[in-house]
Amino acid sequence: MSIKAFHDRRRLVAAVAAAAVLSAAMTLAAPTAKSAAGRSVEERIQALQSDRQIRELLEEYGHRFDTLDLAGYSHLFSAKGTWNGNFGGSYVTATGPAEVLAMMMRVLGKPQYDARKVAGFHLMTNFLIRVEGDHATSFSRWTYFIRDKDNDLTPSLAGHYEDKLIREQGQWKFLERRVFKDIPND
Amino acid sequence: MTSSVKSRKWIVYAAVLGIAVVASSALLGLRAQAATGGKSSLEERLQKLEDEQAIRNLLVEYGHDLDTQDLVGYSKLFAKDGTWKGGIGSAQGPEGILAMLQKAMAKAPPFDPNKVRSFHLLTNFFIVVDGDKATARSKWTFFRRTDDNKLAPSLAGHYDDTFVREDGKWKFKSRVAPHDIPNPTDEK
Repeated sequence: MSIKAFHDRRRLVAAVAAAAVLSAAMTLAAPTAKSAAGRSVEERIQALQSDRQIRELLEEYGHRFDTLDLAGYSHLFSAKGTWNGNFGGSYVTATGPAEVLAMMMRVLGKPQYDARKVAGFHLMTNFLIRVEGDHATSFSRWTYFIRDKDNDLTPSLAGHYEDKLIREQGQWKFLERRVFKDIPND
Repeated sequence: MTSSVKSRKWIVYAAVLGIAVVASSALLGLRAQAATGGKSSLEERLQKLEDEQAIRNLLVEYGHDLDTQDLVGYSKLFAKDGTWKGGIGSAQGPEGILAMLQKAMAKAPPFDPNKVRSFHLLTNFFIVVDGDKATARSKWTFFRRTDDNKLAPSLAGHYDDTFVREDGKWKFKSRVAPHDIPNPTDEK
């Protein structure tokens, strides 16, 4: 191979390498391209995932309540998260998992869940969630059904929640839950 | 090497670079399509998920505005030529729908959050998005407070909806709200 041909080949290799780097950069950069609304694909997917995780949090709250997993229930709250509402005959504000757990045990005692003798459950519906990065707000409805003294399924209480939520270490938690009972009226 | 041979070489390099750029652009498209079996791009799939979420919120917002008697907010959930048809009649456009509701609820006392009389449970959402249009069906169960202050299921039915994206926001194009139980035929 002549020296000229060697240099020509080097130039060709350099051009191909440059093209490969450019095409790789374009391919990798594409998913983070900003949309017309100014949000990246990553941000939009995160918002959808956050919405899904908050829905699960709202339902998990009901599940842990209904199965009397009170410790698990209390850990759905952020360290500074508050539970606010009428419970056990008076208006209560409990802050953080330890206070929320203490409040539940004060009103409910230390009940044991028996899957064959379910006393009641919460239907969680009408989720209206607004996500703003690591913060969110939500409205939702709860309808509480009980097994009455004749062993019949009976709607008993209904209300709604107004929540503020926060994402901590990748997990959505309650920052403020305000619990409203709508029917029966007090 | 003559200068014409040199410039030919550079034309070859430029051509290689150009081909690589075009190929990478094509690959980008192929990559997005490959994941969906050639159905739609990543952007289209993401948009569809966002649209479903926005429509789910619209379905719930409707119930929220109705239950809190925010009739103006409720009427604005409809497209300019959007229609509503159900137990209290039918109407078209936000103004027409607002007038229909104001007439139907003229005798109802104003909403009092401490004296809630009723609410809609909204469930069973089935949403199909197709570009700037969509359809959905869902169920509504209406609970009320009885005269002796008890919670009672009162009426149940479903919604058949079509939607349109208007100025970037999803709106009801048509909503039909039939009663299922009690049966309309049994109503006195």
